[in-house]
Amino acid sequence: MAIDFGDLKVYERMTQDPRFEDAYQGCLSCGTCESLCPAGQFYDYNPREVVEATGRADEAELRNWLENKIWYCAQCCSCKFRCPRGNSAADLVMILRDIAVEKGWAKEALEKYTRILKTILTVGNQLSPDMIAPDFFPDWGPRVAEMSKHKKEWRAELGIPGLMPIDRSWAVPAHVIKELLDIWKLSGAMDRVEATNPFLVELAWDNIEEALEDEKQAAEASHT
Amino acid sequence: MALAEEPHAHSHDIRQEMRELEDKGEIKIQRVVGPYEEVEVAHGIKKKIPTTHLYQHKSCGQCTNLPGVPASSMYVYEQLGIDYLNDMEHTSCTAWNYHASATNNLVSLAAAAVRNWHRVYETGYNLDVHCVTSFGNYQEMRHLLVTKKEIRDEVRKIMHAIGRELVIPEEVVHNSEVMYVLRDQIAAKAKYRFDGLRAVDHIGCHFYKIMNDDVIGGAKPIVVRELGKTLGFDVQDYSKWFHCCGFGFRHILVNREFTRSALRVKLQAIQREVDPDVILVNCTGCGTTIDKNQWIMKAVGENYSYPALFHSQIAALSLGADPYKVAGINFHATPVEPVLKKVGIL
Repeated sequence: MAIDFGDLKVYERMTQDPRFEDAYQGCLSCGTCESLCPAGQFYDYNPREVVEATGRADEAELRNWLENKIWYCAQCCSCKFRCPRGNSAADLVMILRDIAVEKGWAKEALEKYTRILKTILTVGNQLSPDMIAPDFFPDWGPRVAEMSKHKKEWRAELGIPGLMPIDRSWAVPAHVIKELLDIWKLSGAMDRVEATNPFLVELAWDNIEEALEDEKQAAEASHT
Repeated sequence: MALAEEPHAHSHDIRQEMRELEDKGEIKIQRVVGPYEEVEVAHGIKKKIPTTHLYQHKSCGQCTNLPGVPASSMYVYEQLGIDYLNDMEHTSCTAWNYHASATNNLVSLAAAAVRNWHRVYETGYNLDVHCVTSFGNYQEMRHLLVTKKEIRDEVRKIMHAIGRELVIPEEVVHNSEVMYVLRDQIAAKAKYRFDGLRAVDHIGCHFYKIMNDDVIGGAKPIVVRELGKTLGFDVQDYSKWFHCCGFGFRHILVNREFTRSALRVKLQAIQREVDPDVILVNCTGCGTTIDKNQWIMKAVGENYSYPALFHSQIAALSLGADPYKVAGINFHATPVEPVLKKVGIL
């Protein structure tokens, strides 16, 4: 996807990020990050390039990274841990991903990600047991298919309070989910969801309104 | 010289800076409640690991994929008579989403952390984090909140808006650090030992690569291997111990060919160099990746069947936990049964 960068100065925007001071501290070009990067083993991806491009304030190369390469990083932070100068290519990538999402340039990269985002915004968890279905994870083999069939009774057998629902990881109550939504609204994160998945924002607020009403009714019923 | 002893931009004792901010009225520190054990982490810094009143900060990946892992943690505490709280009023830390998609910004990530910390604070329990990414994220958010005033100010405003305060825990502790500290108590009460079983360990990247100055073992974390050795495992070294499992946050969800390829590099080294009975883990993402992606390697003519067992599962199993109804081995894609038969648990 070709991005219209307009008058965006990528390097300047990067330096304004609070993470930048820790993430870039001058590069020796030693190649340590490159040698242990898992993404570099399988993609046209080299963490040293983004650190060096940052050091040169190389607008053309940073824009090239914004186009696609930022989404290859596995965020393991091996580069950050082993860099003798304390640089973090992983964090530079996060700053660039931030720009891409904020500007609405991540739609393609996040195309298959909608269901995950919906789960966070509606149940307060990243995942839910009902997502682990054989049609979504056929490569996980026959035991996962069997587990999927029995997930309700097997979870009940564990007998851990709060681990029975299959639509969320644990029974996060509605008023707690509402707090998370308020955080996303007040921090500007909800605007970023609007930029990539606009319908999810409306869905999240509709859902929480209903969930809060259900919670209220359940509390009233338990008192009577 | 070990890496943990080298000068590093992120190596400092954050607690001193926290106390200074508390004196200025900028933050409130949640101090460790009740007995604890002090363990050196790096540069002579001591970390307090609480041994009671443990708030079970659950992991969305564990509760979904391998719910026997949190169940095992709670079982161990019950067997040892340790007070814990399984509270529902915390959300996911949202760091998985951050690293996968960047749809939540830094301030929302820091505010989600503080909201959960404040919830822990109001219960009067100590933070005991089950997920390695939550643990690494909480260490990073603590660092950013302490060192970056602009983030601190924005998060404080949000906390006030939702009726909470800017509380930062004195100690961010991972469940595997607690089990490490309890290892002799666990061994003393063990009904089963794992003598004769060979193991390797794989420590989640976010346990020590995001912030490297506040974990037991520093540059090469020791918590899982020392617990394993105490319970009888013969824990061996292998060359790719540092190699990421391939979880990749977005990759396990939407680019799984990368996950499988990266894991294969690790599995090949493990098989060639050790060929163990089990792979011991402490990380939600790694445990899931290693457990779920061995079966598919048959597609490239390679056979692997190394059960991924978490620190809490080996502790619970040694104490006599039901392999299915507590350790939840039926949720594992790579069969655990053959290994448990070898030591008489099954």
